[in-house]
Amino acid sequence: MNEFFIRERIHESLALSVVHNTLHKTNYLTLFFCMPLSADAASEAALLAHLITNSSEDYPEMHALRRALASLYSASISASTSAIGDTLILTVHAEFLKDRYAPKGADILHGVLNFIRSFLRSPRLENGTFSPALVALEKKNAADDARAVFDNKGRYARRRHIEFMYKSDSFSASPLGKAEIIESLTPERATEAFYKMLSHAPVEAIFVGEADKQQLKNALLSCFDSLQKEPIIPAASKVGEVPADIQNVVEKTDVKQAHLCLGFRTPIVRGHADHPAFTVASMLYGSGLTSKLFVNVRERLSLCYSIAGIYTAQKGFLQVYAGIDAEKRDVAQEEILRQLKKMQTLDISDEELSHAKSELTGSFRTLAATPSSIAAWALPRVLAGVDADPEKEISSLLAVTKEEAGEAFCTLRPDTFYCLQKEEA
Amino acid sequence: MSKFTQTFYPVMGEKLLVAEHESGLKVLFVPRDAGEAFALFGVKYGALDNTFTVDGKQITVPDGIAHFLEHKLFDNEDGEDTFARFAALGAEANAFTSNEMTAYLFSATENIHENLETLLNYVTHPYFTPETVAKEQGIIGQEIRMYEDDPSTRLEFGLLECLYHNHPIKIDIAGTVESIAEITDKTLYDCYNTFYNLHNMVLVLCGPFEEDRILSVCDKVLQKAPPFLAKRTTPEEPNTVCKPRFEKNLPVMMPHFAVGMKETELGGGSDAFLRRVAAQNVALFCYFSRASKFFANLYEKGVLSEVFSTAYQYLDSCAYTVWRGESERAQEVAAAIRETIKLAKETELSDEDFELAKRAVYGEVVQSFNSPWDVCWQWLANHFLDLDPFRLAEVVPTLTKDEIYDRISHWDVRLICESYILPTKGE
Repeated sequence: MNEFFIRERIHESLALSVVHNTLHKTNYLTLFFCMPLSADAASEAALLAHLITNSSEDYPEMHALRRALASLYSASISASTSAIGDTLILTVHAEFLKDRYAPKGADILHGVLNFIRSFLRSPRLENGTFSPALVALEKKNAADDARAVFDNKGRYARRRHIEFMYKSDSFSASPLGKAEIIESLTPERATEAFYKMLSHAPVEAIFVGEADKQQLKNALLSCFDSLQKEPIIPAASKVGEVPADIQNVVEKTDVKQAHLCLGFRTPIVRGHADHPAFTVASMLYGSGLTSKLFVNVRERLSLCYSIAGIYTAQKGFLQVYAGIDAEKRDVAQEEILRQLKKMQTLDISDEELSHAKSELTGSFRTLAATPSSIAAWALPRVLAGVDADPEKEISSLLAVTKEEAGEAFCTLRPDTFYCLQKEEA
Repeated sequence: MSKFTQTFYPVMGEKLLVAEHESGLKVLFVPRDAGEAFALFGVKYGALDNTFTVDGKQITVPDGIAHFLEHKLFDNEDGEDTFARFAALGAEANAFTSNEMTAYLFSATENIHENLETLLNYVTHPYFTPETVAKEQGIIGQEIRMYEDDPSTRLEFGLLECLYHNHPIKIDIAGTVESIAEITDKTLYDCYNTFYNLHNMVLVLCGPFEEDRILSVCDKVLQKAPPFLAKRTTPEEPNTVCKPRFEKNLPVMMPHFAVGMKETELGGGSDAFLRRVAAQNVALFCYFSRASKFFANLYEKGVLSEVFSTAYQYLDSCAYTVWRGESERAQEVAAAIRETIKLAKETELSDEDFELAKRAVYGEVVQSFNSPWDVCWQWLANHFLDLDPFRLAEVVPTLTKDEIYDRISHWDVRLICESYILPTKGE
């Protein structure tokens, strides 16, 4: 039995998972609203993330609301959007001191749960919709956030790479939404999206900390009991088709450093029998500080500072990213592919395999480093219907052989290679 | 024989064990019964130490050398990679360099004392060659390029250039491609031998370590250090700003701003310093936090967004307050900061606002020690300033309004500078 992560369905569309954690000074509660990803849905959710935690009927003015949170010893409640494969997630996060650290005694947990109920059950509405002035303000903030991805060039390059590689796939949609769509949203549409989310989006609530489970359950049920009727489970993510030829894309802007992204697809997704083998292979190839990419492309050939192979398990997507000198793009790409070939031809030492496994298992065992890291780790597993049990997962990773890792990487097919570089390069 | 002495902090529910190891190294240990173990091995040597004196002789080294040294310490004479050593023991390792320190770290849940030995071992055994130095110049060159494109980094150094005439805090941590080209294996050894002296270092641990085993590992690895002779050279810094404004165009969507206010009250002993830090944070909470009228007004007008932060940055030789954010109307934010400072000086703080601020800042302080990493980082950063960070949680509730007024009396709009990263035309 998994004693680390105890998940219980407490309502038709609400599951509560509790990780008892005494190691930290804060409690952490997250509500993940899960929806099918699309540019429209992401744009609506991005706006909602700005709207729902900034006011409520109880606290129509942001100033009073923020003061009330400050009086709970700087409790923070915020919302954001993200994606796991083809699933869009609107997350309400709350992090707050455990009551025992309040010097004069306080029921901080109770206070925070009241806020969350207020945000979900009693949003600040005017004539049945979110206030037009508030919507106008938050549309601008949400659209600015969507555009600001451009300001971090590494992040922007990785996003553009996904947009090209998955251009006919919902996965291409940024979870931050599209600025132009956000700007077109009306108070009516935002309100409709809010109630649609409450009615249809299955909710995963994850609590990490110390609390009475019954109190949590009752408080969460009171947020949803009369609202959620028809949960719509987002469809499983699709891997998609590999093109006949590699697509090469170069985009130019005013940057000193070039950002190279190489994209590959594999049919191995979370839940697949070979998923542990691919996870070990991915670490060995590019995810750790002892990986082939780090040791060879960075340390041996001095071609970059940042390099990583990032495996998105829900989509069977491996994205290799490197920040390089544009003039050395060919050398860097050649070496990245040469190391991939080495993986596929089992040119893997026992030491490399052992280090990859150690790094992976070490990262699993330090999951409890922060309360939020536990929740972030658990959600993709819950969505994939996989038991969120670190010890079980560690056992399956430790059992992976060199041959299995290499074979898992033989399923990779190159898809789209992208480079963001300076104008004159 | 070295021994730990213990201090208990009832408010935080924490114990701190301190040992002066015979080698000269100070060891700070915050025990935990279970969970992740974290260790930081720090040296008071950072980017601002580009000029120093040893035996009365002034030495100037290339900008970026402390950071370069951090990269190169991962090399070993036997050719074995340090990361591989940690990986074999199930640990994650890393390092970082700031303006005033360099630190090497690991986190692990198994083999924690063996990992500690690995940490102490590699940091105390430098191995540099002309070939490995040349190789690193390519890697760090790319790191420098990355930061050249990064608006936050450019904004911060733009602000420091404005705030300070002479203080070396304005030196870019990674240096420049040109400055790191001057670094050789000899200059690295010179800097290492000067600063990586155990009297100038500290080991901070948090996790389920055992006291005896920590000291045994130190006994096994560390040699008695000679006296530490180097002295930081901090040039005289006028109580004025160097220039009022910095602007740079980069391909960004929204203007980024950093408004800085130079601090002129420095030193005063560790108790006074700690109370000053606590009072400054409470004062800033009253007037500039997300619960302030300043924030609510500008947010509701669409001038500020959630991408806004206020911080008090302090070292022993300089300090400043910085307000950062993104806004198309950034100059209105700078004007509102000045107005709010004037207002703070003229009006009385209500009891309600004062108590709320103390409560909120107390909460922030306790939360800032949430993980073993947080505990180690806070102790490392504050140890070199002779501050006891666990005491902050005790100090905040005892602050008086007079202390807040005294802090506000040091806020001076003439010491404010503005730094902007503006979109390149067409973005």
